[in-house]
Amino acid sequence: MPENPLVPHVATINKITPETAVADVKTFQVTFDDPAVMEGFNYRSGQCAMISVFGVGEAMISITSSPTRRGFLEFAVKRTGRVTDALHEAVEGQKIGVRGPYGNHFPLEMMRGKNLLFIGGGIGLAPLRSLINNVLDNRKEYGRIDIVYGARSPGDLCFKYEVLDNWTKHEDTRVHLTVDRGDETWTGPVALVPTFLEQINPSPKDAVAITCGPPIMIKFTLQSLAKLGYTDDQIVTTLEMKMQCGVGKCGRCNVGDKYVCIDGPVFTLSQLKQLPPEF
Amino acid sequence: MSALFTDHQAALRDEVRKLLSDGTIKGFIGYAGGRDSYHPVPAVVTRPDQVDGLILDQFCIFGLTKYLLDYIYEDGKMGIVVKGCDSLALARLVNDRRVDRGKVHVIGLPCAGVINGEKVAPLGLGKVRKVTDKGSSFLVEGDKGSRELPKAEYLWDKCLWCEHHNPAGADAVLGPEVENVAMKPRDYSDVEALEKLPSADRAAYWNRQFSRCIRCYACRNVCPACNCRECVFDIAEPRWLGNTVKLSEQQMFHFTRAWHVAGRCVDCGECERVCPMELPLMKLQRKLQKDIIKLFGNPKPFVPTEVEVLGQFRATEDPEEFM
Amino acid sequence: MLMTIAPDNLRTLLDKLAREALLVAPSMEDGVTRLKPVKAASEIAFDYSNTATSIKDFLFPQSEDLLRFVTDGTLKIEEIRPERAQVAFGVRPCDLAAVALMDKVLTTGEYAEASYQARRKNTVLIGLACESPADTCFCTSYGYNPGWSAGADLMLYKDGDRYLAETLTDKGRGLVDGPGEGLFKPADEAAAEAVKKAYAEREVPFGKEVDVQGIDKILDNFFYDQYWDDISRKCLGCGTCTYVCPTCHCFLLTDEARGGQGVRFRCWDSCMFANYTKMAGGHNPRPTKKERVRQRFMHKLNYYPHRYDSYLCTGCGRCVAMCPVGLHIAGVIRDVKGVKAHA
Repeated sequence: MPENPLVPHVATINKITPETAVADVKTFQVTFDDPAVMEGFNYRSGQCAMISVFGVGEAMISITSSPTRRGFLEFAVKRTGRVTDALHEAVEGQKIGVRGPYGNHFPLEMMRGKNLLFIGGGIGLAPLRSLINNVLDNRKEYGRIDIVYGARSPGDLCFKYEVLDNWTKHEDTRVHLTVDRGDETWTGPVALVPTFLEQINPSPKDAVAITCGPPIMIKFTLQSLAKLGYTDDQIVTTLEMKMQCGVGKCGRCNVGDKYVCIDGPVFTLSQLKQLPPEF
Repeated sequence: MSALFTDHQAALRDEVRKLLSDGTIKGFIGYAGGRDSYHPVPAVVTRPDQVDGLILDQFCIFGLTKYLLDYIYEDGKMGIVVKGCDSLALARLVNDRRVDRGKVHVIGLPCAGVINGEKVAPLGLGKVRKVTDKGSSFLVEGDKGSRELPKAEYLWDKCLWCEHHNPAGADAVLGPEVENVAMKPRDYSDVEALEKLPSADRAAYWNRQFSRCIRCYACRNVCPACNCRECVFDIAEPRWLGNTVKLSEQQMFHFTRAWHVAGRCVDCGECERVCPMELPLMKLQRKLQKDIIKLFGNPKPFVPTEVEVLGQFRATEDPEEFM
Repeated sequence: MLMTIAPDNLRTLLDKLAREALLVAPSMEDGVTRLKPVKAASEIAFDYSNTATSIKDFLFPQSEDLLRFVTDGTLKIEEIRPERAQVAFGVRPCDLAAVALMDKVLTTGEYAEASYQARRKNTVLIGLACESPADTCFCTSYGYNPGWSAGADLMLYKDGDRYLAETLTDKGRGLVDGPGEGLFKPADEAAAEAVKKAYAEREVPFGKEVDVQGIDKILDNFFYDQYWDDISRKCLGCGTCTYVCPTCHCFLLTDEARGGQGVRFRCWDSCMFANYTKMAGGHNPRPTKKERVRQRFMHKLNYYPHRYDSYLCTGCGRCVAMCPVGLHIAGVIRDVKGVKAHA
């Protein structure tokens, strides 16, 4: 029987890590029960998978682990609706369904040898994390790296192990953290990401900027990048639309004639500008 | 003799043009021509240059008041043309506190009956040139032929027993008042025929009708009594009605809707008319209407009042000991 | 292969098919003719222009279980594949053409939609050429015609007191040689071609009024036009057009479970419904009717052509006949062609 793209594989949640102070974002580390499926699940940074909580439904979540680290998958999930609610109620050892990988991927080929500017906001760091770890695992192939990351408050910063510790230790890699508002312990910058970005003023020369985050942040970040001299081809971002099938059949996730599930979610700004503003 | 709708078309256009131009209204909900003379459609115009697309003729059946819900969060007034039945629908929306009467400019159209375009279209009369009111019939002259159509056979059923020919409380009225006399008494014979059937046969009848339902929700969307901010069938959590199309779900949808509307239905019949699969939805509503008349003693439950019979509970008058 | 079959023999064949497989045919009930399973040829309507709903109902059902799951203790998933053989009789040319358009989306590309593909394999399509196109039909606008047979396994053309029949596929031949054995006679080739030609050239009056040439190019620059704002106001937001359309295929995947077990099923959804693109968290990229009406017609006449090189419409005219407010694709095509784009 040929494979049915809508039937998920059984996977087990091995580890659940709350990311934020209020635990509205959790990272789930997952392995497929069938080792052959795990072995054969080849994905690239930027791709997503459909997670099933049977009885509740499915949600398309970007894969936050890097494909350079094999044997497991990681998903960072923000509690937003029915399926993510149910996921947050899950316990380690619980089984879920996973199918994928879906979508296109970040343009590593285009990024090689370039200076990289990653700009993330809140949970938007999740797809970027896959890409950043991917890049850092092959550090010599890329130029200078600047990671700009902001969240609403210090408690909302995700992946603290990486942003506060691991990533700062790599060669020619700077992590710039900011929050919209601080707390008693925060001694770092307090600014919205786009403003913060302009203060850092990274040079667009030989650079690629990759940004993910809430729509409002993206909107102003793109304006800031333009101000800093980045051209549309140098800027990469991701789109999010409601998805059902994930394989370009159900018609739901289209933006113009592109399906976000197969032609996206990664788009350069010049590609995005050719699409109707319906996202 | 009642004035024909077409006689007021020019006056309506002039009035709407004026109201739009001087800013009294920011849009007008009326009728435009459809694919042929027998199927006029709703039209919402917002600019004076669109006004010439508005029509008024004896086939204009659509109940337009539901469109007012599209504008309740916007500033400014919407204009609308209403016949007698439509004014009851408007009253329903106003009494349910969904539409602010002050934000609507109502142009009333006294009506002695609308011709059923579905019955006339197959007669092959071609494009309609002229309609004349002959008292107990309409003479319809088309470019392929003419026929005198007895009103008793060619008006919509609801027009025959209508006693609300004149829209009440309009801001302006097109044409003279029509005598509020029904052509024939309200007819529940089809409902009574169903009532007489043994329950298994009645169930079989309704199951057969529901099996055609495609859950398009046209009936709900056109109904002025179906005006909830968020319809129970659209709520995802908890999911009251699933998405499967099986008999139990169709029953759940139609019976729930019938009961939610019971006591507030204005008998406009639009639900049945717009159904693409020709479900006899008004049989359900009229059965409930008939029961309400008998059980609550309200002879006209389809005329909106301040509080409807099913929207109130009178502890001292309730014959039942336990609610 | 070209053959003829007498009406009596056709009824005999249909009776046999009704007994041996699932036979889906046009049947009238309570005034509505639609395709539905029939138990005997006597239930079949032969005098109709087109059925209210289309063959889509039986290739891509309105709701269909895809998998069963058990979550008690551990997780077990079991795929459900439709296996039942079915024969569909009386499929009009517009619906046959529509099946080809659905095939493009659902069976090509990196993945094929498995249930649809299985049903396609298990279904024999008997097409029926149109003797009397309705005044809402406009298949000719897209280059189809009342005798169009591509996609049928067996195509029938009424010809006086009998039917001309043409087998177009192995499945069609299997039908004729199997259940149809002895019921068909060879046809005179020249006469048969004449019959086919007459059907292909049969007039479809409304088709002359709907000119789709170049509409996809016009729509490339039409996204921001005021037209969508104007025309969408009368939309009721119901799903009639999408559900009666033989090419609309947007779907939803939903789970229904009770006590640790349940099914995941696929069901139709409509881009006309307000919640269609609403995401968890509340953001809705198409919040009003204007965006949704625009999406529908852009998809049919611009987005789908960009991806698959044809319009996602075959001119069956169901939306023309059944949209309660007359907001249908033929009207939009005419409007867009005639409207001068606003600055």
